[in-house]
Amino acid sequence: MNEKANVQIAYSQSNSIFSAVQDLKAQFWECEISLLIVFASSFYDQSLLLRALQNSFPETEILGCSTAGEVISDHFLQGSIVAMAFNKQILDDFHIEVVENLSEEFDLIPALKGFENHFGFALDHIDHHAYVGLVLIDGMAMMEEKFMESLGDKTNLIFIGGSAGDDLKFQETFVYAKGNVYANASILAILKPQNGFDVLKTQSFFSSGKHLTPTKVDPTTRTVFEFDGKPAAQAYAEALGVKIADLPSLFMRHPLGLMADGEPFVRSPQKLSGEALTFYCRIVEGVSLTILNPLDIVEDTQKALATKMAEIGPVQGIIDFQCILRTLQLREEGQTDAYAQLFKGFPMIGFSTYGEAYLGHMNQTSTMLIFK
Amino acid sequence: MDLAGQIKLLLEQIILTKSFGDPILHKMTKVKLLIKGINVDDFDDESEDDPDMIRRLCDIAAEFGLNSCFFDQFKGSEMKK
Repeated sequence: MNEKANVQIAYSQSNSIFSAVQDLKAQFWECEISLLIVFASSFYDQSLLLRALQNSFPETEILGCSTAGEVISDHFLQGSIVAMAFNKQILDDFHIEVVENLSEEFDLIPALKGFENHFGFALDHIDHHAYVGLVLIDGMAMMEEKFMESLGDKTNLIFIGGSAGDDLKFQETFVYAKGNVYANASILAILKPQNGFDVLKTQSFFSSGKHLTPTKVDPTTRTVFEFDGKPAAQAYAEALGVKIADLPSLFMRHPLGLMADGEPFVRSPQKLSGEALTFYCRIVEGVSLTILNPLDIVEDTQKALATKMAEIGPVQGIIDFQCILRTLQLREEGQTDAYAQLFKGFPMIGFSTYGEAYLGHMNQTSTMLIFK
Repeated sequence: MDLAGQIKLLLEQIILTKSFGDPILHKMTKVKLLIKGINVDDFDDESEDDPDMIRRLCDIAAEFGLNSCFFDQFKGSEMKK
């Protein structure tokens, strides 16, 4: 697969970790892999998987996480492992750091110092055209907003990534790097791709023109009690012209968007909590949100990819951090294969996340890192 | 100190200092402010000055690591109020 490419991809659906890793290895023609990124179903014991990967790729830095579904060029998968291998020709340099104890008072400074020591300059002065950050974070710690905000405060670099999953069990998720598997942690990697990079954020929604302003919230539980001074569920139902009881069936198709220059950062309702609404990400009081209307995910993603390809030219690889809610919708509509086929012809891997990272934490979005 | 129009001035200075005048970083900083709950486009020269907002923006400047006399003067004026 992908002969002579600097970025190679592989996948395995074997139930046995040993067989799966051998399967992956057999698909890589390149022996000198400098970085291996792995996304694996929670079906696999992540510690055993990492150990097996390290044994098979002893000279390679490995990072990855558990997922809620996997995707690779032309295949939408469940219960599998997907991997992307980078050789030395595609990455001029990279460095990986781990931030632990997210739920406590986590400290970003040691990780930032680690990057500074490696690259030789502070991350608020880094060349953001040449370097890009990758972030994988525990999907159950509910610390994504605080973590991404803190990262954004202290750096001037694009960090893109997603929250680890556990196949919709919502019990525990894992991230891994530097030979260890972590919960309640985040993996940060800064890459310097030789031919540059780009990012694509697409969410397949457009503004309905209707707005709701949260006037009473609890950011720690991601709960909105009131929109525009009314009980949140009532205000949301009135804006959609439906009964409150009908709201849950409309959450996925009409989430809210925090609009930045016309582009939504999606905030997805999770459930009714009495008259309140609980979201999959934090809602900030006083900032107007827009009710969104859906577009066809496959068609819209195809357009977004085509526009980006026309802009940047040949692509060496793509990592797709795709919201589990988009995956569920694709499954419901029987569109998973059509989605995977959008990436036929170039190396791509991705996983179904519990939230996407790009400047902040968001939902129902695909954030993609594109290697030129 | 006359506080008229100072929120917009403060926002412009935060964005300029954080982004070093780089247009991509300028856009990124505006999004970071929005995610924190500050919609830059909501403020213009006529916007009513709000001491709580000025205090919040001074805090954000500090979170961004922007320590300068410019931001200190706002902190000073806020404390006098």
